[in-house]
Amino acid sequence: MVIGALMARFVLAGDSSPTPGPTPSRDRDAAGTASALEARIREVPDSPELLTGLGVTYLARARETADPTFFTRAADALGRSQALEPDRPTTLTGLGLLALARHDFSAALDHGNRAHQLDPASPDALGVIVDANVELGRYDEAAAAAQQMVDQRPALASLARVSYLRELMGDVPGAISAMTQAALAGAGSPADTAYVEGLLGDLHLGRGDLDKAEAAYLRATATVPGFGPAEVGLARVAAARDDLPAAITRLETIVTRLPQPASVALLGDAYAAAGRDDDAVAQYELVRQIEALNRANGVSVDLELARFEADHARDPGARPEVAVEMARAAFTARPTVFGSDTLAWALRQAGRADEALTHARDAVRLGTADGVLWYHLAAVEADLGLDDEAREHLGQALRVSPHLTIRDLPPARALADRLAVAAR
Amino acid sequence: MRRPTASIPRARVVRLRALLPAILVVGTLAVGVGPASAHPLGNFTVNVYTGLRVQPERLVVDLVVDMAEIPTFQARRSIDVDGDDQVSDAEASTYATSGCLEAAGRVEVTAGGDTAPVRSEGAEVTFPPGTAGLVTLRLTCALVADTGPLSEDREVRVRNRNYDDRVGWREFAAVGDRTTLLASDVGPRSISDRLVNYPDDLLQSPPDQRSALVRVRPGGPPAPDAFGPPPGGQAATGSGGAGTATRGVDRATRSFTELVGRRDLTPGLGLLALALSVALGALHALAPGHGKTVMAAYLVGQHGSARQAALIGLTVTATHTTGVLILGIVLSSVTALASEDLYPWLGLASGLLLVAIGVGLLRSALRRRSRDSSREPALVGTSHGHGHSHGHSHATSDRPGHGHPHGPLPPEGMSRRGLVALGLAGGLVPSPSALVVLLSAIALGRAWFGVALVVGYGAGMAATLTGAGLLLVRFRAVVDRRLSTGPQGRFAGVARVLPMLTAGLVLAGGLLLTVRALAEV
Repeated sequence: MVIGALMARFVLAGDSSPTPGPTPSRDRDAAGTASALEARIREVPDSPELLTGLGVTYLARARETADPTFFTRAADALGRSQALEPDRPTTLTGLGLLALARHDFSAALDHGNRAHQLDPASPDALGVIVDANVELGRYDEAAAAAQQMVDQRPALASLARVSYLRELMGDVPGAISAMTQAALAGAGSPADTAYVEGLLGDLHLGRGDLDKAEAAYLRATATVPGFGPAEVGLARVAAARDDLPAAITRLETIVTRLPQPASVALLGDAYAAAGRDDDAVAQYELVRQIEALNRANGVSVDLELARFEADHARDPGARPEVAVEMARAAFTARPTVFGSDTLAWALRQAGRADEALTHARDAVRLGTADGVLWYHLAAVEADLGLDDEAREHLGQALRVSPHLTIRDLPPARALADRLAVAAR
Repeated sequence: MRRPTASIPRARVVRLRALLPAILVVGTLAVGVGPASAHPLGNFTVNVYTGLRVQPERLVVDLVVDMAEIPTFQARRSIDVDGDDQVSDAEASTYATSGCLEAAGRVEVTAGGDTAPVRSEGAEVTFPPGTAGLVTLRLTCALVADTGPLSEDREVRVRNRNYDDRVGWREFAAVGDRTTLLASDVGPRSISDRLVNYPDDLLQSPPDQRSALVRVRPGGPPAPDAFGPPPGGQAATGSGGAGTATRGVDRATRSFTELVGRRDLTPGLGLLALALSVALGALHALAPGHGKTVMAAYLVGQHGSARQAALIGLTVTATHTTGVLILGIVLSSVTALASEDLYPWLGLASGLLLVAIGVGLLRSALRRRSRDSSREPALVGTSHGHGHSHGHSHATSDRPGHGHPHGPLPPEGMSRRGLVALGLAGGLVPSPSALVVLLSAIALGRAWFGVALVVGYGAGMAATLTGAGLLLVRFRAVVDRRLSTGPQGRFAGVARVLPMLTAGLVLAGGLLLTVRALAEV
């Protein structure tokens, strides 16, 4: 691993979090910027500069509001701009960010590379290259681009990506220090700042540092009130403190406002942990409806939903083979360590632990400090009777993520007990 | 999750959209590329429309909530209270009533500084089908706040806190109803047709209106019905894709209205627009259903002359132009009269007129036939010898009274008045495209230009119709020559039956129109 010193995260595991990008102006209000640009475009409809500015502003709006139709608007504005001037680097960068948000990572990489060729000094083009490579599982290329980016300018965007790559490589202290620098570097929009604080919170929460996590999440919500990922983080902090009622209250608010599958599934898990099975089932049903809507809208490949199906493949009435298919499709589109993990987990849940083992080992190949990956590997190994390996990897899981997740902690503890008994 | 909204390549509409959104939305639907019921913001949005009608003593609030599939699914447990996966009428009505009651509590009204409590006077919920076999939810609440007698100018402020933490389209509109709005920070009409037709302008952020502030002065014209479509909007738009003022608007017309809407309308462009409107009218007259069939039948069957052809063409055109102008003026001033209601009536009038003409023609043909059977077969040629129907036909048109051409008819065909009636029937239903052109021009503050365009449009129609008529007359002359030179018995028989056939055709056409109109009335 060449890569000690870099790394990234703007497209992260949380699927629906849009990617921060170049902000068209330092205007603190993207909505205001958008309406000003819309008005100017009505006067001057054929300016690539204005159209690209508007497209990128719509991407910022999508990030702020989580409203996906801003992607459609961004696509329209950027497409018009490109038709007028095919080789404008900022337009290509915008198209790259849009492709990332829509999970078309190969297209994103192409746009990013073209933009970078035309304007090698643009950190935003490099950012697209980093993110696309990360999501295509090409970690060395991602690291090289991130290094180049941070050499050009150690700012919020580059430092945040460095942090993410360090996290993937298992260097959590390094990730935290880079993310802290990123938050301090500022120079981003409020949404950028909130985003980075939210990620910092995730890093602290992951390693079980609940107070620091909470503080980072609160800074995020203070910058952008109601900022979704930070609200979810606060709920997870509450759950980690065994305060399920507080976690549920928070999640209910979040899910009412913005029913994204990850939050809905998390609320279901919280209900289940609190013994409210009917309420939990209602949330899981909602996730399946969202899935059906996605399919009706032509979106059939989604890592998050594949993960949900794998988690629930042993529920009554579940179809484990469907979960395997979804996971395989998601892994093909997104061959990351998380893709490997989801495929491994789906196979294991379908009773195919032997096939799962390679993928589960692939998932931890970078040494990523995410306890879920290690717990899944341990579960696969335990199924195959590899008790020593399972014990070791389960220990690793609970070391890097003492609170794991609401859903995974009880079975992980049960497995630990069983393995401990077996060891005696 | 993400909902790829239909991205529709559209011609750019420069300014019309802002000024005349309803018409263009309908125009889009008419060519079949409309966004239909797609939620503007994806499957998880809750969209809220607040329509205000400021009356002298009270404020009427038309509150519409349009929930996409996911929030509807989330709400299902509070709707389907017995958990049988069915929404009974009782459950729906309970949900609507309590939903509107709650909604009323989240609408804050202050009038002249005093808070006025809001109550719910009507509630309705429907479940329009959505994507993937799921349903969406549409809640409509008729809310009222008593604001006290309005004796002098005052400010009314309304804040709608319903679903204000949800992602969605939030829209306000306000009109005065027997009051006058001196100032308003929201528009007079719904740009989404009350959350039914969301505009698909992608270079425009969705509205995020959460409150409205209006300044009201006592006195003013009444605004149309309280809880129908939004004030001002319904005149030019309907609630669905069919049966609207502008149905049948084609692509050519849309690009044309765009031309009219250009801000930098130079004299050259103006002339171009005029020429285009003539061409559009000429083309329009070629489309089926403009009395051409009737006219053709008449001219062929009744030994029509070139003058008659011209007369019918001109009448159709004059009727049509007048009709469009009147309808346009009516629509742009008295918004209560929805034109989709008007169309069937115009169709009915036109149908009945044709039936009457058909009956008249049939009678005269029968009479002539009984006369002719005792004589030599009718001679053919053109209508000379029957000068009654042209040349000095003023003699007949002076006759007062009768609206129908029954009564004593000239030996062949009908009087000039009959011809005018035929033209009237043909031109009675105004063309939607002409109407759109006129309404656009009015909305742009270019009413006179619009009138000129409609007249040009009419001239184009007249040219086509008269031209077609003349062709028919020529054709008739050819047929007549053939008939007169052919073997007597057979063709003479055809010539004798022809007037009856055409009379029957006119009658049948009239009946068809009448039945169709009755079905729509």
